[in-house]
Amino acid sequence: MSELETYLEDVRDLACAPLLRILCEQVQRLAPEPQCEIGTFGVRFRCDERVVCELSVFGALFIARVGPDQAVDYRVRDVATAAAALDHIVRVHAALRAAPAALA
Amino acid sequence: MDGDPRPRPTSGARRLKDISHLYLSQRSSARLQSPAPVRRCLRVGIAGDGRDGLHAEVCANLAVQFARLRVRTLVFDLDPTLPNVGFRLRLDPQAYLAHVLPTEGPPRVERALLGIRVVVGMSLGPAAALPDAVQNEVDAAGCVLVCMHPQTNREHLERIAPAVDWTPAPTTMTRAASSHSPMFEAWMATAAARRAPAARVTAAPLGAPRLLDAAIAVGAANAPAGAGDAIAARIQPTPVHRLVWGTGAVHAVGSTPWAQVPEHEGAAVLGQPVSSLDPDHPAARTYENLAQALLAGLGRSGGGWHV
Repeated sequence: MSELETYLEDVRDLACAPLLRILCEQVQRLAPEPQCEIGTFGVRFRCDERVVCELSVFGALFIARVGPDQAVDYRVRDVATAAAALDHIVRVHAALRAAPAALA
Repeated sequence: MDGDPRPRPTSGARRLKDISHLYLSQRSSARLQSPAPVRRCLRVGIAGDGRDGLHAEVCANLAVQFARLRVRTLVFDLDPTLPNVGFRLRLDPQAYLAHVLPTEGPPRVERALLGIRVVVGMSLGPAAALPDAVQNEVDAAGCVLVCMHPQTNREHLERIAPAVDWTPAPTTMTRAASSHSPMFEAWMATAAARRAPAARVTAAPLGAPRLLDAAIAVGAANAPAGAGDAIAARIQPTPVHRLVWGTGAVHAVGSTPWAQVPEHEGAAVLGQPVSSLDPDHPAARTYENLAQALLAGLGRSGGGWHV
C-alpha cells in the first residue's frame, strides 16, 4: 500500500474523506505524475520540485492550497468547491509543465 | 406534310410517347414522393498512448475545425484522464468532471466552445442505455468524435454503437428498383437481354461491422509505430491512421504517417484549443485540412467506407 493510500485510509472516517480521495486520485493521474509527499501539513503534490497543491484536512472540510506559492486556497466541503479546486489544480499543473522556466 | 424525306417508323415500332404513359400513369402518390434523404454522419475515433493527453488535444482541435466548417459536432469523451476534452473545450468544471464527482448521473450533453456538444458523465464502466436527450443529439449530429482511453477496446465502443449507428446510403440502382417503376423494369429487361458481362463489384468486408468510419492514433514523432497497431488490433476492422505530433523526424521505420501536426501549446495552457484561438497558426491549418479530408472521404465513399 502506498504512502498516500495509507494516509487516505487513516482519514477515511472524516466527512471530507470521499472528496479528498477523489482529488488525490485525479491529481495522481495527471501526466507527468506529480510526486506525492505526506507530512503534518497533509498531502502535497510537486511537479519538478514546485508545489502543485497542498491538501490539509480539518475535520469536516479540507483546505486545498493551489499553485507554487499556494496563494489560492479552497475550503472544500462540497462537490462544487471540489470541482473548482480540481479545475485550478489541472490548470496549474499544465502551466508548470509547459513553462517550467518562467514559473520557477 | 411530306417534306421530310426520312422514312417514318413502321407501325410496329414503339416510340417514347408510346411508352411514357407506363412511367407516368402507373405511379401512385406515394411513389411520387422523393425518397427520404439519408443523413451521413462521420464517426471518427481518436486514440493515443495516454501520455501527455495528445489525443485529447487533437480531438478538441478537430472538433473546433468541424464546428468552423458548420458541421454539427458531438464528442463522446470516453477518456477519464485529466485534462480531458471537455476541459480543453472550456466546459464548466462540474461538467467535464462529471465522470469523477460523486454527483455523477446518467450521461448528458453539454454545450462547449462554438456550440460543440460534449457527452459527459461517461466512464469505462458497465454498459447502460444512453438517455433520449443524448440519442437525439447523436441523431442530429453530422460528425461524431470519440475520444478514446488508451485501453478502449471494441466492447467499449459497442456501448455507443447503437447510438451512432447508421445505415449505408442506398445506391441509385437500389432506390430505382424499390420504386417499382415499369420504366426501370423495362430497362432491366433490355439490359438482361443484351447479356453483357456484369460489372465487377467489390464486396464489403465481412465479419464484425465497423463501429467507426476511421480512427486516428496520435503519438509523438519519436514514438514507436507499434502503438497504432495495438489500437488497430483492439478496434478492428476500423482502419487506423497514424498522426504524428511534432515536427521531429518520424522515428518509426517503414511507416509513413497519415498526417503530422506541428507542435503547439495545448488548450490546458492557452485556455482553449489553438484552432479557435489562432486559426492562422500552422497547427490550426493542419487540423483544418485534416477535417476537410475526413469530410471529403465520407462524401467520396457515399457511406463512410473510404475515410
